[in-house]
Amino acid sequence: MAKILVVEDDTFLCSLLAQNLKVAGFDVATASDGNKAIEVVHSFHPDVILLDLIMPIKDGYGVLEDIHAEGGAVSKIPIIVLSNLSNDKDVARARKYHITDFLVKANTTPQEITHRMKTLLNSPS
Amino acid sequence: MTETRVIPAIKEEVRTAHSSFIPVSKKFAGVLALALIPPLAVALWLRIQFPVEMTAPLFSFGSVTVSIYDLLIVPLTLVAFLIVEFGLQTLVLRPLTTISSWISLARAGRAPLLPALPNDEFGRLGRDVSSLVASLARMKKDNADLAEEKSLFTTIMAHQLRTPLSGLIWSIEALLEPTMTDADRQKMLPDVATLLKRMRLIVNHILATADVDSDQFGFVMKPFNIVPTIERLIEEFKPVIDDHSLVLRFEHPEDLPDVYADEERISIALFDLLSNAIDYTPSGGTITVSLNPSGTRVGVVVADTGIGIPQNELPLLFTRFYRGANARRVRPDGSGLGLYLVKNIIASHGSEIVVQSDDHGGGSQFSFWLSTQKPSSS
Repeated sequence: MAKILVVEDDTFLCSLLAQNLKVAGFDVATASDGNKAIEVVHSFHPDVILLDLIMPIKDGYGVLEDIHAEGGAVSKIPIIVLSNLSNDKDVARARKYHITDFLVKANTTPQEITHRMKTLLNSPS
Repeated sequence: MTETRVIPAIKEEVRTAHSSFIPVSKKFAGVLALALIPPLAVALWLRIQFPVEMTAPLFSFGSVTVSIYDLLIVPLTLVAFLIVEFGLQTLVLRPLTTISSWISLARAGRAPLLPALPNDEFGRLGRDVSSLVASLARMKKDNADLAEEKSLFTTIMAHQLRTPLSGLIWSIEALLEPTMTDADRQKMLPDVATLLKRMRLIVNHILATADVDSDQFGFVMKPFNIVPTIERLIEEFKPVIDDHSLVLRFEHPEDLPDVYADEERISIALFDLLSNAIDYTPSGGTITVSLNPSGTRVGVVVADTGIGIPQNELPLLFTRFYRGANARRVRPDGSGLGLYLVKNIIASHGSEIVVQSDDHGGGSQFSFWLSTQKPSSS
């Protein structure tokens, strides 16, 4: 079963997305801030990370920075940024870390994200 | 009607633009030549009136005899012309050329220093033009700053609205899922309501900010009892307060006089203060709202035992969009509008919001006075 880590500080959005992914058959873990995300990355070993950018304590950029700096297997995990920020500067800043995709929360749905996860995890990498 | 006025004006401008540039010096030379006609005519008249013997005759062309005096007119006129020309160049044309080339440099955005000009009308003109250029430059910068601020405002507000909006879209999608049971749907509805309330708050903030910025805050000042207003707010916040395991205390004397204020605006200000206190106070903390009458005023205090605000951030706290480092860490997606509105609402009541804070565990305290009497002036 493919494992997905959802990093999202909004508990409501997080539960909606996690629920949808679980129903689709994924093993899902969640984290509500950047520091917890880094911990869960090491304990849960996800196949994909869905990462919010604006979060308390440590934001998504901080998580990208840490993962990038750590290198090794962790830095190979595909990361899909899921944020409501969408201006060019924010997208470019996240893309510097070789993220797989940048999705705008308000312009997508958990169903679409789930569908995308299925495509991503079934495709040969 | 206006068209008939506008069209000749445009034609005039076009004609002026296309006609060739004639320097003032040339025009002046023409004027001078015309001016020479009367003295020459007078000389001729004198020649006719008086016999040539009286004016030392030099030579004759037939019947016309030229005297020494006749010849003197030529160099004298030339000298007069040169003097006038020199005066014109020095007094009028040089300062004008200086001002004109300075304007060209200023227009090219090089902001040069105004060169030394004589202390006369041209000097004054130069300095006036210089200050006009300076004020135009300031206006240009103000416009650019305003455009940038507007764009920042739109970006922040759009992002603010997107957060509950995504929640709404996602929850509606979930509610439409055929696999969802009625019980699940019932469970989700309060969350949907919370998202809608959050959107309403953001929209109200945007509108109130627009009112404040355009100086059109339509205040309805009347006496009212502030106790039930605060009790309603506390009731609204109760689920969040319980959720965060906070204690909220409301302290006020029983016989509190009515305050003379705009109830709705004061309610917005208190909502923001309470909302901040809840957001920035860790679980187990206490928030205290207290009302303290003193003479013809009532002191309103919202105090918390929260994370506090560093001293160096206090002066910036009420600036639009400003968000302190501590605040950003706890609530990264705040708008930075709440305290800006609070300050303006309180200022419009002739009062001032005062903050005391200690970021080493002492919490924050926001307080302001409200009058119990209608102001005598206004």
